[in-house]
Amino acid sequence: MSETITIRVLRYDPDKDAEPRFEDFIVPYRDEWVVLDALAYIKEALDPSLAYRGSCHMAVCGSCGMMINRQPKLACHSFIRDYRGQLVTVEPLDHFPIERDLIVDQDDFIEKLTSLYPYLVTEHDKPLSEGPNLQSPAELAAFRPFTQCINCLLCYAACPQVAINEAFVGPAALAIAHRYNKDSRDSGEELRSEVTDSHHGVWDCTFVGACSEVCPKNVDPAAAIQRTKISASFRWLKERLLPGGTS
Amino acid sequence: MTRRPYVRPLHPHWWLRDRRQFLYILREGTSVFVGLYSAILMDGLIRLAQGRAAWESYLAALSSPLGVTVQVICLAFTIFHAVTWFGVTPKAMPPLLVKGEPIPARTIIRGHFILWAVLSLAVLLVLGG
Repeated sequence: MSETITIRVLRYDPDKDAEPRFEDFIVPYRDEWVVLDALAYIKEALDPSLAYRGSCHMAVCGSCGMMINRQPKLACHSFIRDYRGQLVTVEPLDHFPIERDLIVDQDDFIEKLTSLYPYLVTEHDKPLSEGPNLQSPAELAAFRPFTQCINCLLCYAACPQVAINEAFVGPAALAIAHRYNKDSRDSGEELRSEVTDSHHGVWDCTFVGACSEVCPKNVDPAAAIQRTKISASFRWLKERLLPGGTS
Repeated sequence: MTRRPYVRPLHPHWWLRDRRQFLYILREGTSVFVGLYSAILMDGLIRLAQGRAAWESYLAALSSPLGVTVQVICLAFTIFHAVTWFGVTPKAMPPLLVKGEPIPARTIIRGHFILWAVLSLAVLLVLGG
């Protein structure tokens, strides 16, 4: 632990601070350390009041999303050695209210996600005696990449539409809706279309593509949203062209 | 302990602070030039309908130094616009499966460039011939 790095952390204590402020910490580090390790070091050795989220340390739980040198990243996926010789600035995720230090308020996202029925919606309960729901490899391939979302919210921090329009449902929630819509066991697409097809659903997306670039799990929300735009357009046409289409 | 979430204001130059956001705004901005060139072409149709003298003054305006400059700028921005949109096309399409495997994004993008080249060549041959 001979080398040190300066970590500049955005601090905000709602009891004391009128607005956030930066604080620098000099952290000795090992080659295998990630930014999350540096934050743990700060909390244990330098300032126990530092607040941040983190858990699995292996890009699975999605808790440690933050802005690292202005890029949305998982702190557990960002090696300090890659920033050698630089100042590392760590801020809470952009486009979310700051609760305390590096912790953001995710309530708005949770509400948006919940409005999209993020689970398998089935028309009838199937008795266990009928056995499992089988899927072919092609049916699985249709939605599998979108199951990888860990709700880390890096895509929300990358999206300029989320920044300028807080009503936009946003990338991850729409990707998760697409994941269930494309699942052969699900029949909730009509229910979800109330939100996905609305103005603040897919149509607020201007196809920037930043969400897919920053996704640590290669989920590709931009693709999910564009494909939902196609389905939404067909639904819109069907409602107007087919007799009895409006329900 | 108080709960007082702080909302950070959006930086006034947010799209200049990040390369990704800058390229997005540039892509959107180039559509102005695509529109401008479409307007120039529409104007050509109107002039053509007005008769020979109007059409020839339109051609003269296009061949003037200013006309050529505007067209070169429009061409450059239209190429940028087209290239950026070709790049994101695979995301806008439902996955195309061949023998159960999705066609790689790179192949779809290349397909667009090849089609573009073929169509441009066909237009040149038709007009040249």
